[in-house]
Amino acid sequence: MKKVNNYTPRLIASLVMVLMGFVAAVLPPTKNSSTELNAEQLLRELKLESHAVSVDELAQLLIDKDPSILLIDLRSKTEYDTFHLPGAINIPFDSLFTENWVPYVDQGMRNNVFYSNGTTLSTEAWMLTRQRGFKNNYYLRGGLNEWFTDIILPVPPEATESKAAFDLYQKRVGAKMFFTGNTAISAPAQSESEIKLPVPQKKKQRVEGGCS
Amino acid sequence: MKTSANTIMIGMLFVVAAVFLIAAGVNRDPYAFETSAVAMHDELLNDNQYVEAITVKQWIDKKTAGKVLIDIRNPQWYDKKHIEGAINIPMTAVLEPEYKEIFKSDNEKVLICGNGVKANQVYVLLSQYGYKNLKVLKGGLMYWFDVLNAGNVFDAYPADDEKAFYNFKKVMEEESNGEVQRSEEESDASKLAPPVRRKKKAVQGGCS
Repeated sequence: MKKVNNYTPRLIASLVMVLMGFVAAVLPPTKNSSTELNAEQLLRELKLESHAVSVDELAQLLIDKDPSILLIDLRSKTEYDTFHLPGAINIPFDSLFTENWVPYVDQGMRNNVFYSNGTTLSTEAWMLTRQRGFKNNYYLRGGLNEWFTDIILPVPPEATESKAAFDLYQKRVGAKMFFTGNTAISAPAQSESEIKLPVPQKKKQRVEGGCS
Repeated sequence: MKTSANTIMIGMLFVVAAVFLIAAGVNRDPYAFETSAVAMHDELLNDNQYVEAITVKQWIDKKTAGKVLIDIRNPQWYDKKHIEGAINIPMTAVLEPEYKEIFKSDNEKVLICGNGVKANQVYVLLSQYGYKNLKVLKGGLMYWFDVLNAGNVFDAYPADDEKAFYNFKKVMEEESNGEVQRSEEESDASKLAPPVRRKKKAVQGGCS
């Protein structure tokens, strides 16, 4: 009897331990044990638009030939083959998480910029990769549509608009010349170095700042 | 004497186990996603989160039950103009516990914003989080007020954010032609959708 009494607590103790092990294994991962983002963290980054790149910012990065940038075209291969931004690679949205492409979107070397025709696909791709904990991915706000509206076909501001609007337009005309190779628009800017006008950046931020 | 010591030990073990269970329960992240990103990606490929503006208009006209319109813009924008009957849950607050009941209900919930882009972001977030029966108003309020309600031609401008406004290749070819100096008015002619500039203004105004 005495012997049994000596063993019972240990037996129960080990049983409880094993049970706790099972519970720990079954429970979902907690906040601190994973690099994945939860809904609150993802919403916070969405609201801040911390990973959105405007077409003007992208134009400047491409003109500066920033080597850390990799453009990722999320559209179909057909659309990509017809037209894509200089240097872009094609990862169709439906194959974003396939084995051959994950090394491109889950890495710590470059800064990827997702783009599509609009903003929908690129933010979807950003949200999904960001939620999985992938870093260094960004999305082009406005997509190719805004790229063409603002950079390739810039509209001159009206006479009553601010100096900032004129500065921005001048900058866009310079960018347009860079991307279309069309230098006939105005005579002075003939070499690439002259295209990079020292105009203050991010004028667009003010307008979009109201977005939540 | 021995027995009572054993009893105390067993009792303490149960207390430890109970504390462990409670701690594990408390530590569970209330904002954890229910669906994995890969599964959500598969779901998005179906591309069936959108509801056409005309369908929503019919619901309103027929007073169809079981539909909730949720405007996710800032209250300032919502107060200025919104679809009749739409409630306001700003994007920043969609995860707040006070709105859990609305999102957990069986009603079909239509998310609305200026052009549909942010509503889609909220759709992806909340669907992955675990809320069901969510939809996005295609084209957003811009399309609703400027096209549908203004009685304009239906395709005056695309409700689909991902539709290309331009023939990109053609525009690039035309714009790369450096022979002739072209005015902006002329280059406008190459656009597929003429009122693009007006559209942009609407985005800035209508978006929250």
